[in-house]
Amino acid sequence: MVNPILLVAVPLGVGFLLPLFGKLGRPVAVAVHGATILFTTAVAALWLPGLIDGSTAPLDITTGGWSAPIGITLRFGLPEAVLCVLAGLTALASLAALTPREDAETVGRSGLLQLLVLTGAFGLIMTRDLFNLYVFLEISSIGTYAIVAFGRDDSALEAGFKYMLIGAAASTFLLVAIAYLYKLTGTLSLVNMPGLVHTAPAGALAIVMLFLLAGMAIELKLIPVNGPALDLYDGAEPGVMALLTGATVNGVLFAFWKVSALFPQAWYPVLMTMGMITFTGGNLMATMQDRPRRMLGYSSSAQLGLLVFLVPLVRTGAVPMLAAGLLLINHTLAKSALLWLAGVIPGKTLDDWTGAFRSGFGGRVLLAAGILAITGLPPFPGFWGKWTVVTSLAHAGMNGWITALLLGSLFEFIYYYRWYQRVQTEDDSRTAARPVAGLWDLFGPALFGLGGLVLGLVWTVRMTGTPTEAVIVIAAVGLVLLLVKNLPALVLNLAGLLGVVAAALWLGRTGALAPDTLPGLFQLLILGGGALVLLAGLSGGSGASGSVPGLFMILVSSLLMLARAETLLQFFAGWEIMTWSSYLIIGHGRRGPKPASIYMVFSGAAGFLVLGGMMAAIGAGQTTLAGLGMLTGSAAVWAWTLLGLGFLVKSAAVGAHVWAPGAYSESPDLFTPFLSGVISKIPMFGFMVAALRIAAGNLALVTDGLDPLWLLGAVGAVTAFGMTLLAVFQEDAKKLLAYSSVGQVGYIVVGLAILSPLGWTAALFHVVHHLLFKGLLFFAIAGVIMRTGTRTMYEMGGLIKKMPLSFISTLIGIIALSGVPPLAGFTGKWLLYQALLAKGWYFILVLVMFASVVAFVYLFRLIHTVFLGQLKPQHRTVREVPLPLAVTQVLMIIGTMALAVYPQVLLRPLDALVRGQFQAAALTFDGTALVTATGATFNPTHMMVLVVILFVLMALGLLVLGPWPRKVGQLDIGFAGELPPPPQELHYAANFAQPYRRAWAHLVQPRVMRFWNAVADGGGGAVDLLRRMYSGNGQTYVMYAVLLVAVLALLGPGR
Amino acid sequence: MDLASRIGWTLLSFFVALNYGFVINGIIRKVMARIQGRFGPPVWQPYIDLGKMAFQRNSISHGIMFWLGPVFRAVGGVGLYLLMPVVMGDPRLYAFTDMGDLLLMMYFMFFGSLGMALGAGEGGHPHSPIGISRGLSQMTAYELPFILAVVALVAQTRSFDVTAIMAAQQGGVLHWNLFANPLSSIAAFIALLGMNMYAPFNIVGAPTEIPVGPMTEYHNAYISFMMVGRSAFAIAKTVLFMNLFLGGAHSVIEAVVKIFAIYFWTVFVGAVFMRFRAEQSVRFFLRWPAALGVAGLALSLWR
Repeated sequence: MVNPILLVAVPLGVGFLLPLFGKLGRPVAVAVHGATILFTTAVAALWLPGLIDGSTAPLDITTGGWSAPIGITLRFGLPEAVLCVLAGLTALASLAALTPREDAETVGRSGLLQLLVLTGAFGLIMTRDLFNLYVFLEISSIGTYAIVAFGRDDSALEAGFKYMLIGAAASTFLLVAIAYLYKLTGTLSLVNMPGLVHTAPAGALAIVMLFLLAGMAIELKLIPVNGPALDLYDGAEPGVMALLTGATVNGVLFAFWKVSALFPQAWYPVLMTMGMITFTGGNLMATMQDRPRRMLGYSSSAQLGLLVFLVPLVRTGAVPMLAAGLLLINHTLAKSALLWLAGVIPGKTLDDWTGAFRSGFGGRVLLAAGILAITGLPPFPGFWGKWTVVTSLAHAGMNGWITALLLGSLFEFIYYYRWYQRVQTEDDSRTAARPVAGLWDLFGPALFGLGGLVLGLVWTVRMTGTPTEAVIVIAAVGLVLLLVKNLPALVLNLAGLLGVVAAALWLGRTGALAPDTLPGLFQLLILGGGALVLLAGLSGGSGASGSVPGLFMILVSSLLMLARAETLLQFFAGWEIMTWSSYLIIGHGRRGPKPASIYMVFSGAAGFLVLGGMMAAIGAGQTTLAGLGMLTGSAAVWAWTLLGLGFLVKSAAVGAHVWAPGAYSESPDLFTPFLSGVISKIPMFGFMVAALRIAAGNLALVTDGLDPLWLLGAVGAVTAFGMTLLAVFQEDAKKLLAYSSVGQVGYIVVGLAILSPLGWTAALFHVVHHLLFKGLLFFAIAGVIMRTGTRTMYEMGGLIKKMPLSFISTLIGIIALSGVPPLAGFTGKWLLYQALLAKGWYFILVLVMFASVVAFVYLFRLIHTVFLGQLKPQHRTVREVPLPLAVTQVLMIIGTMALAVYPQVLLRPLDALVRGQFQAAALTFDGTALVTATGATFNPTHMMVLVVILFVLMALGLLVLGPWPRKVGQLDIGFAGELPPPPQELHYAANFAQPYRRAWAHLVQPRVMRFWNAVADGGGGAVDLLRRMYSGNGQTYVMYAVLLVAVLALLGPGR
Repeated sequence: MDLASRIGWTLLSFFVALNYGFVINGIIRKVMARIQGRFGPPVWQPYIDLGKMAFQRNSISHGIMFWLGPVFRAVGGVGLYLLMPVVMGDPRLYAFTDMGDLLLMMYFMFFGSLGMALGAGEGGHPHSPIGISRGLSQMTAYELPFILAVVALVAQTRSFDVTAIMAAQQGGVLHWNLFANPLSSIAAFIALLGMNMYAPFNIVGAPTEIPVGPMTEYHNAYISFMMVGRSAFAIAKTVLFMNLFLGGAHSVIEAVVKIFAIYFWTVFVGAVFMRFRAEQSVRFFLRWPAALGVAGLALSLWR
């Protein structure tokens, strides 16, 4: 094995020769530079396998052979090797990103500075000597000032100067601390010093620690002394910042890890507080940034804060070092990748990012991957790191810290997804000026993206076990489809369809798809819904091409993973992948980016609430879904509350419903049925397998007062009613159906909250039936939009003549939804109302019944304004939908009708399911009749027969009785002898619910929207004030450093 | 009872009910005329209208849905009647009530209106959707007091079974829900005003403004079909009110009297009130009748 001392010696030696090589020509300099980095990286990497499996012992190097106080000690163990490899790779990719911007004149000097920075980082990582550490800090700092100022940008020069100013303060503090430490302990070796430092007098030690901490805080860019660093990110070349992130920043952090051994335990809370303030505060202030580079600066500061927060916890063993390591690796990979990509975009404001990476291959995918990784979403390593950290905190009972951490993570969502929203937004006026990422620009992001993905997948398997073959197949097909996304929609969707069918057959063979178990039923729904979407996608159209099919497959695989979950972690990992994959798909809608980012923020909040609930359970020792049933006391109450809130937010329950209409209506048309039919049911699945397991009997604490289940039911009922009312006022067909979907989920919530066999039967029946009829409606409307090019209902009309199949689909859909017999909507409502009656929740019963009646208004409006009335002249040439979409609709009609004629086909498995859950039956089947435990009877089959017979009789009667009617033209209407005006004026459609609008006006003000806007504005204003502390004035920044010392002196443990 | 005799009795019962419906319509026209100081048409005028309409020699159609509208309407009316138990304890007059319960009746009520509205919609005349828009708004609004009243009754018997609700009212007039639960009953009877669409809730058809509202484009045989549907529907609805609030009937005579009384409540109110605008009726139903309904439900829960 090569001696790691060469890591310092070689780049330092070569570095100063680089300007000379530069004289020989640009290629020579770059080759030598690259070879040096490759050599050092290889040296470090060769150590890795042995260090990982433990066959190689960490190496201690003593320079000159002298022992500790005189010689300098270096160590090369596993953490050092990992950090050195990371630094080397970052340097390599930065070289690739920076070189094309250098000319022959500067390439050598720039290379020198890059190698200097790298050397400093290697030294910081390896050294075990306090003074030597200081020296390397200085080398790194000098390298940093120089390389930043090397840019051609004035703001970079200014930022570098400010950085130097505050760096001087840091150096002073550190030097004072080091001198005193040497005096107190008589050694500079970090190996020996921690054992000796406690012998020092307490007062002296306190002052030393004060200066040490202040100095390190500046180096680590903690709040409030991170101002210069922010300016640096804003001003300097992003490629340079990537190098600093991967090399210097990690080096400084590791240096801090080493000196943290000197801090007495009394200082730990201070370290944790400073770290967490930086994490949440940094992320919070970033939310008001409109300059992505500066935003990345805040984010870096925040991520470092999180790691600083973890240092004391790792020292005490509360958090495993591996978790912190994963977070650090994740941050390095993701942040460097984002910075390299940022280097491609010349402008600095968000506006410059509009539609970025639209052309060219891979830029946008890599940007998305980087953002997903840095926001801690699976399968990237950050997710596993964060999960481990949070579970460790839960075990230690540190709920306050968990809250702060999750809050900071939520802020992170806000600004990162707003940024990506801008990237997804298409602005055709900018196409010409838009830069395209070159091959070398993408080298680093691709390398790190791939690295993050591989590491993340390894960890996925490690933490959650190997997923079943079906999940792997679907996910793999998804990844392949993403790579070949430029193929025609037909090919993409066919491949996806085959993948889903193969997976379904596979799972069916193993018996996993039994509809009488919850996971089985939901897997059936997921695969069935997925197959229908892909089938419809064969016809092309919105949401059938590009990266949507690939993302859709990933979404389906994540849902399967979630439905099959046994542990909390498996559930949550599936949940988070579902969140981001559906988010990315929604963003592919034409006006999708903005609603998608709102969706993401609410989903993020839902995810963190669910995570919080899980932590309450894990803190009480339960890590499986089944274990939730054993929670008692306050852990049960917290888990129930947080999980329930999370699921409600994700299901867009009233109050959190503001995300839904935009996300539903702006998502690609062929994807919306899945969003409504399957994804909106996942929170319901969560209620059944997680939250309601707790409610089963262990909420004794609160049941004395308000029944939590009644409260849940009431929320469901208010959602059902409120969303129905809002649907009435929509002019946009998809928005109407969106509100309707959210409202329908409200009925399911009511059914689940009843927590009786019958209530669950009703809820599950509705889960399946809603997928069929609402999917049918969304598909029918998707076809109409495809053909007419509009979603605004009053712009259509009379389409029954042109699209009869779509009309029939819509007709069946609305009758099924309305609950009018003989379709199965009534069966569902009947089950629900009987369950409510048995439970005795009369006011909820009234509200949901009333809601179902109000639904008539929007249902009639949907079918009338689109299909009935007067056909517009511009639609005279409209054709019926393409064959695949028609087949999809026919299949769903068959499903809907089957449930109507013989609902037992579903009710019997559901009966077995609830019997397994409750050990009691909901229904008995008397022939074709359904009989509840209380004796209520309904015979859907007979009802259907009666209606059909009556219908045939009456139709025959009209045929026989009336004369054969003569077909007349569209405008042949009785118009009091006048010539009718054109169809546009005859079609009464806009503001159809006018009497309602007048009567209910005061009730349907957008109060909730106003509330959230006020939260955003108020919060934003406060944050804006806060972030003004970074005045951009170097003197102010130095003053903050001094103030930090003062505050620590007054409030710290040394006072 | 075997299926054949069941169907036979049902047909007979329906035939009687239908004719009663026609007679009531005739009486209504007579009564209204007298109130307004006219002589009025003969009581059998509806039969004349039916015959005249049914045997007109021509007819037009705007499309299949338009043609099916009256069929939907007739199926809705007849079907609803077939779900009603008419005379207590007499299975010959129970028709097919064992198919479901009160919920089935309440939701099947919408079948005819929905189909009719769809048919009228295809007619393409703007007056149809204007009338439907008003009708839907009004219908959804009066459903609230009606639902509140029904749930109050259901809460007492803890069953959606109409025969159970009827059985609970036996033992004297004061056991009728009309007296046992007056608040809910008042709410329901106000809702009935809306259901029957006499003034003040007759904006839907709004004669002289949007001539006949939803039915504008219909004519001839279609109208005769709608008359059948309407008559059956009106009787069925009234039977439901009789069963829910007036203790049901023990004989055909009792049923005839009670139906007449319930129906004419809406007629007499209609004769003396002005017409509400659609949003006024929506507001009206959501205020006092709804408040009464809530009070009635609270009362029946409290007892």
